[in-house]
Amino acid sequence: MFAMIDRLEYRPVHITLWSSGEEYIVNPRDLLNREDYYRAKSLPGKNVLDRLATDILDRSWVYNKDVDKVEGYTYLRPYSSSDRESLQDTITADSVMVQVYRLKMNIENNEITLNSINHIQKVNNISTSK
Amino acid sequence: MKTIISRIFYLLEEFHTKHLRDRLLEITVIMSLITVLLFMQHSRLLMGVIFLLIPVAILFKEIALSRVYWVLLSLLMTIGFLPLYFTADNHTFLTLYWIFAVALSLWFTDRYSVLSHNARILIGLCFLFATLWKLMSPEFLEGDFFLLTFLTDSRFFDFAELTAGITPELRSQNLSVFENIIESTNRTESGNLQSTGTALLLSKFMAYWTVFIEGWIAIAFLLPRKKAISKYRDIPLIIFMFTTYPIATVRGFATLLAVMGFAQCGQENKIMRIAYLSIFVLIPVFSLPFERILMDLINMFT
Repeated sequence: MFAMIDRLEYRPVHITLWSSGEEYIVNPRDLLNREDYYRAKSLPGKNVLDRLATDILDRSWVYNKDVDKVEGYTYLRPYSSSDRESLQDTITADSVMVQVYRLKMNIENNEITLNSINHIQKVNNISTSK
Repeated sequence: MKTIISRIFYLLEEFHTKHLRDRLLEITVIMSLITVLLFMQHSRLLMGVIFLLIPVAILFKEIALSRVYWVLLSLLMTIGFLPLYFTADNHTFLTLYWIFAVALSLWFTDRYSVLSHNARILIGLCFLFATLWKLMSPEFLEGDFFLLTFLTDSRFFDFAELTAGITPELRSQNLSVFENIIESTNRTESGNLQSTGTALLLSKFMAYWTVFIEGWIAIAFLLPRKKAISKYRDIPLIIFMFTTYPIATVRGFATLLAVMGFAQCGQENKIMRIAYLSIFVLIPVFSLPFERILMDLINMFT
């Protein structure tokens, strides 16, 4: 019954967050509000992305300098006030970018690429989107 | 399980009694309940209630045919489905429509005819939309979809190895490229997969075959019963099931189609009823790794 390459599992959501001039990456699977994440994947309209971005901006994030740095990026996790996390570096975001992609395949050269469906960049309640 | 099987056999023996329509309705309802129990995605919220409600109805005919029961089940399934709306598989939507069809049909005098009619229309519409969707998707008709599926979808690995020479080494390279791109924490936006000429040809063939068989089913099930193509509508559906599900083992969809196929046969078409019932019972066989078995046999004799 399936017909298209574009399906939910093949829609990466890139979440990039900036704080004090540093760039960080959030794994969307770590988001506490998973419903908004799935909604952003399936219906990535302005309002949906805006809500997700606002939630990310409103939250504190935590990372461990020793284990969360992979391939030049630092990965953040939501701060949940546990004792273990209180010892780690906690940050809040200055701005965030949420990008939703779909997968395309070029049958001529077997190349697969990500094409942006929509994105939002939000800084201090000012947002730009398609 | 023993009780359920013996009950189905008991019901089968009653096929030729004067209450044939009631018996057929009862079997359809039990098959539907088994499908909902085993193959519909349930939210955690209501899983306990549903797993209690359904076996009770399977065991007691009066409950299985109760209007109130089916209205309650429809409501519960709808509430339980809402949290899964964005992630549910295709067949979960169709199963929900089918639950509503069963619930509504029980309010009519000729319950079996209403249910049978709804089964035919639901199958027809399902395949009509599937065909239109494919016709409107250039990436499907040009073979992109099937090629990517052969190269990266684990359900098709054995088939791709057997028919298109996608070796485990190629598969491993492809998976590495693919996962790197679709993983949300990576920032890789393109990569090249390894394929073969046969895989490309097969992708295009399968795309056109799928449009053909699904289009045939849609027309056959939606045209009036008097038309010749409609009289033999079960043939394309059974061909579809035997050519699709041993490769793409979507057991939930296959089971639901077997139930609706059984329901739409009407009381006159005994052979097809038995065919659908057999498919329903034998669907676990579809999960056998036929391609792997075939490859092992070929290796054994070469």
